[in-house]
Amino acid sequence: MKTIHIIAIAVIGIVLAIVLSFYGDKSYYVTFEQAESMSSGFSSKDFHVVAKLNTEKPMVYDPIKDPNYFEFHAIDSVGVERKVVYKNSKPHDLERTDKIVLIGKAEKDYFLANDILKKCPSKYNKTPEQANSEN
Amino acid sequence: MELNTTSPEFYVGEHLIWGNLGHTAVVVSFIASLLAFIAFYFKQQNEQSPWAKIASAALWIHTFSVFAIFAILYYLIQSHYYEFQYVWQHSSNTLPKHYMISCFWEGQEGSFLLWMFWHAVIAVFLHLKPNRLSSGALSVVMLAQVVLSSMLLGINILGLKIGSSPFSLLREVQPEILDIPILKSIGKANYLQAIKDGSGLNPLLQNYWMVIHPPTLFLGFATAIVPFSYLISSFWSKDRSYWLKQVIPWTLFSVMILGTGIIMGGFWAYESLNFGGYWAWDPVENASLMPWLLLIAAAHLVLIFKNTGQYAVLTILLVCFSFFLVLYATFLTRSGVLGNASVHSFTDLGLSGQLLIFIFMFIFMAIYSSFENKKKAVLFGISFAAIAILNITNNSIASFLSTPVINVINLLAFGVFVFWWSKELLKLYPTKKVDENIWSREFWMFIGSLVLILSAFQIIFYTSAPVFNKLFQLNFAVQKEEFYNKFQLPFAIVIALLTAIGQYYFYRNTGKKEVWSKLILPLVLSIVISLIIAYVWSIFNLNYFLLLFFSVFTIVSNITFIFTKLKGKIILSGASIAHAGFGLMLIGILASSVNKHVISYNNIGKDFIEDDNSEKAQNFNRENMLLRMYDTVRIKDYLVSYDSVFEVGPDKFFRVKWMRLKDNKIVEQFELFPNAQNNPKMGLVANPDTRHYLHKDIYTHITHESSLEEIEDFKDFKLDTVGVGQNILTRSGMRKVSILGLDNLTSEDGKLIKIVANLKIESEINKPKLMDAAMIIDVTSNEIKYENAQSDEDGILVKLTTIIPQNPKEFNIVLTTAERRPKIDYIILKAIEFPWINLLWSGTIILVIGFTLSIVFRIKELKKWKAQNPS
Repeated sequence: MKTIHIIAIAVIGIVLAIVLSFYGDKSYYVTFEQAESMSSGFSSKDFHVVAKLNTEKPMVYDPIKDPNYFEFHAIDSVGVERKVVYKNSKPHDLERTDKIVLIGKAEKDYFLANDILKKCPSKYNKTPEQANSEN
Repeated sequence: MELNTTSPEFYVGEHLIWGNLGHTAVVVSFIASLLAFIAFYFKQQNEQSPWAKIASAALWIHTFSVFAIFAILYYLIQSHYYEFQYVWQHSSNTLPKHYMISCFWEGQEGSFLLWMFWHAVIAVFLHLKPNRLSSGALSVVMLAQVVLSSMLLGINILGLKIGSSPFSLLREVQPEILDIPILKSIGKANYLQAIKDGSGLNPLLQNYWMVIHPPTLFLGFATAIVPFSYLISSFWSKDRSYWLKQVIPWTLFSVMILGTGIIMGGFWAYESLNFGGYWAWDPVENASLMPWLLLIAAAHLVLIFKNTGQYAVLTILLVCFSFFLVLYATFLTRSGVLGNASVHSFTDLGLSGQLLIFIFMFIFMAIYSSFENKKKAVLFGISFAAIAILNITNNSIASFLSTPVINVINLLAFGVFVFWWSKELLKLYPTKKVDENIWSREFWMFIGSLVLILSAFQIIFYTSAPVFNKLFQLNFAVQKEEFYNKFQLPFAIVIALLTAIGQYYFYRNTGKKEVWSKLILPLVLSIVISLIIAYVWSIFNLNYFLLLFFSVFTIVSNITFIFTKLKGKIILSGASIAHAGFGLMLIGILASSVNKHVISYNNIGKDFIEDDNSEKAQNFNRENMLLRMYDTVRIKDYLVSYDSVFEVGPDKFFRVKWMRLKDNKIVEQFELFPNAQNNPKMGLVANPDTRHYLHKDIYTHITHESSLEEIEDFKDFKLDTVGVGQNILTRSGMRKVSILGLDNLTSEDGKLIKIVANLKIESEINKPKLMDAAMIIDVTSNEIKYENAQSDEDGILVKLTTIIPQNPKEFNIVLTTAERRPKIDYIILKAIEFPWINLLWSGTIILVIGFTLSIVFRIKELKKWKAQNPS
C-alpha cells in the first residue's frame, strides 16, 4: 500500500466521522411537549424550541432579589404555552422580538432555558415584509 | 379631503435628481462591466484587436460609475435626504459624520457596493500593470462586476425582481408611509415634512472597529477573485505555468487581509458586543472562516506547485474552491437562509435566486474553461446541474430516503464530480508518477493542506444545516460551540505541529538526520517551556496540553529557523515570522478561552465547576451581580463600587470603581465605565468596558440597570386621623410619618386657601426627610387640589386628605399613606476575566508583519523572474 492510499483512507475516514457526528450531535427544533416527552428519557441534550413571547402574561425579573432569575411565558409553534425560566439577567429586546429560540430542557412545570436566541425584525431592517413588498 | 385621497402628481421637497443620477450610474456600471467582460475576453485572444481599446474604455467608465454610486449614496446620507429608503433606514440626523460610512455596510445594497468598489480598485491595478494573462483575468473580474451591479439594479423584468436599488424611494418601498394620519391635514404631497429623521444606524455599528472591519473583510473577499481569474485566464490562453507566479503574492495578500478582517470582527465583538468573547461559531463568522482556511491551503500549495511541479490538480481545485466559498459565504449571509440560525445575518431582500446564479455561473465557467473537450464539459455541466436541481426542487426525496442517506449520496456525487474534474485537470498538468517522499517539505505541506480542507469541510457542513433544512424541509437546530471545538481542536493541534516542523524539510528530499538534528534543540526547549506554562495556567487536559505544546514548538522552532537557517536575514523570514505569530495566536486563543472565568459569580457556598454541563451547574448559573449605588461588593480580588452615572448623548456611562487590596492595603485602583444605550429600536444596548493588563483583561458590561425597571403603582393605602405632633405608621409598619405642623395660607384675592402639613418621613433605609403635603381649596368652586408628599427612594406617598376642625385652635388631620417598593439605583454587572488575550492580538500583528515580508519577497522574486524572462 502506498502512502497516498493510507492518506486517502484517513481523509475518507475523517469525512465520514464529521458527517456521522453531525447526525449524532444534531438537535431538532421541537415543541414544548416534544421536549417534555424526550427530557424524561435518556437524553441529556439541549432542546431548541421556537416560540413566541406571551406578552399578555407578566414577566418576572426582580434584580434586587435575584439578578439571575427571569421568568416569562412563551407559546411554541403549535400554540402550547409554558412558563420559561432563564437563570440569567433579562434579555432586553425580548418584547421586540417576533420569534425566540429557547435552548434548554423541560423541567417539571417549566422550561429551563440556558440560552435564548432572539430574532428581531428590527436588527438590520425595519421589517423584512416591508423590504420584500417591492415584488 | 380630495387632496388626500388621490396620489399627488408630485411630492414637495424630494431630491429626485440625485436618485436618478445614482440609478443611472448603476445602469452604466452594469452595462460597462458587461462590455468590459466581453472586450477583455477578446483582448486576451488578441492583444492587437480593436477590442483592446473598448475594453480599456469600458473599464474606466465602469470604475468611475462605481465611484459615482458610492459618492452619490454618501452625499444622500450626509444630506439626510430621507425620501430615499436606504438613507432613511440606515441613518439619522444625530449620526456623527465619522460613522456615516458605516451606513454602507448596514444594508445589503451598500455592502455589495463596497465589494464592487474593491473589485474596481483591483481591476484598475491589474489594468495599469498588465501582463500576458491580465486581460483574461480582468474579463473574469468584470463578470463578477456584472453580477454585483445587477444586485443594485432594482428593476423588474417580466415580474422577476433583479437586484435591489439603494436609490429606491421610501414612498415606493413602503407606500404605507403615505397613510400616516398627519398627512390628512398637510396633504400627501408634503409627506417629507412628517419624515424629519431617519430610523437610525444600529448602535452596535457605531463603533470605531465597525468602520474598518467591513472594508478589510471585503477587501479580503474581493482579492480572492484574483488567483481564480488568473487561473481561468491561463485556461483560455493555454498558458500553464505563468499564472502561478502572478498568483503567489495575491494569494498571500488575500490570506493576510481576510485574516485581519476576521480578527478585527472578533475584536469588535469583544470590545463592543456583550456575548462575552470574540468568537461564537456563529454561521456568519463561519462564513468568512471557510474561504480563509482554503485560501491558506491554496497559498501553500501554489508554493509547492511552483517549486516542485507537484500537486497541480489540488492547487487548482483549492484556488477555485476558495473563491466558490467566498460566493457561498455571500449566499449564506444574504439569502435569508440562515433565518433562525444566526443573530446577525442580513434580512432577505429576495435575491437568493440571483445569488445562486452567481455561484453556479462561476463554477460552470471554471469547468467549461478547464475542459479540453468542450463536449465533455457540457456533459459535466448538465449532470452537475441535474443533481443540483434535483436537490433544490425535489422536496419529496426526503420522504422516502432519510436525510443522512441523501447527504451521503450528495457527498458521493460531489466526490465523483471532483474526481471527474481532477481527471480533466490532470490532462493539462500531467505529473510524473512518484510516490510521496515523506522526507520532503511538499509532502508535509500537502498533509497540512488536507487538514485545512477537512477543517473547512467540517465548518461548511455544520454551518450548512440551515441550507439542508431549506432543501429537505427539515428542522435541524443550530450547532453549539462545543461541536465545532470537538473537531477544530485536533485539527489545530496537527496544524500547529506541521507549522513547527514544515520549514525544516527541504523541497523534494531531506535527510532524516538533517531534519532531526536541527529540530532537537527547539523540541527540548519547547517541552520545557510548555510544561512550565501548563503548570502555571493549570492546563491538565491532554488535548489542551498538546495544542499548547505544539504552539510553543511552532514559535520556538520558527524563531530558531530564522537564526540558524536563514542567518537572520529578515527579508527571507516572512514565513517563519508569520508562523510564529500563528503559534502565538493559538496560545492566546487557548489561554483566553480555556481559562476564561466569569468573575462576577455570586454563588456563595455553591460548588461550581465551569465546564460542567450538568443540570446542577446550569441551575447555578449566577453570572450577573447586583451593584447598588454607593454599595461595595467583592469580585475576586477586587472591591467594586458603583457611585455615579452620567449621560453623553444617548449613552449612559456608569462609573464603577475597582480596588485591589493586598494585606488590607490598596495596591491598585481604577475606574471602568461600562455604558448602555436605551435604544428605541433595540432596547438596552450595552457596551462593555475592559481593563487591559499585559497578562489579562477584565471585561465588564451592564446587563440591566434600575431605570429600566417599570415603576409600580402605590398600594397599601391607609387612612389615619391624627393631630399635630403625633405620628403614624404605614400599613407595612416600615415607614413613619410625623406631623410637625400645619399652615394655613390664603391667596391675595382670598379665593384660594392652601393648607400645608409639615411632615417628617422616616424609613429604615434612608435618613429622615422633611416634606410637605398640601390641599388647595378653591373657595368659589369648592374644588380641591392635592399636592402630595412623595419620596421614591423611601417608597412612600402621603396625601393630606382633609382636616377636621376640633376647635378654632385644634385640627384633626386625615392623612392617606400608601407604599411601594423604594426605588434603588443599581446596575447589574457581568465581569469576565480573559487571561492572556493579548497574545491573540499580538500574534495577529506578528502574523501580518510576516505576511507583509513574504509578499514583499515574492513580489521581488516575481520582478526578478520577469527581468530574466521578458515575454
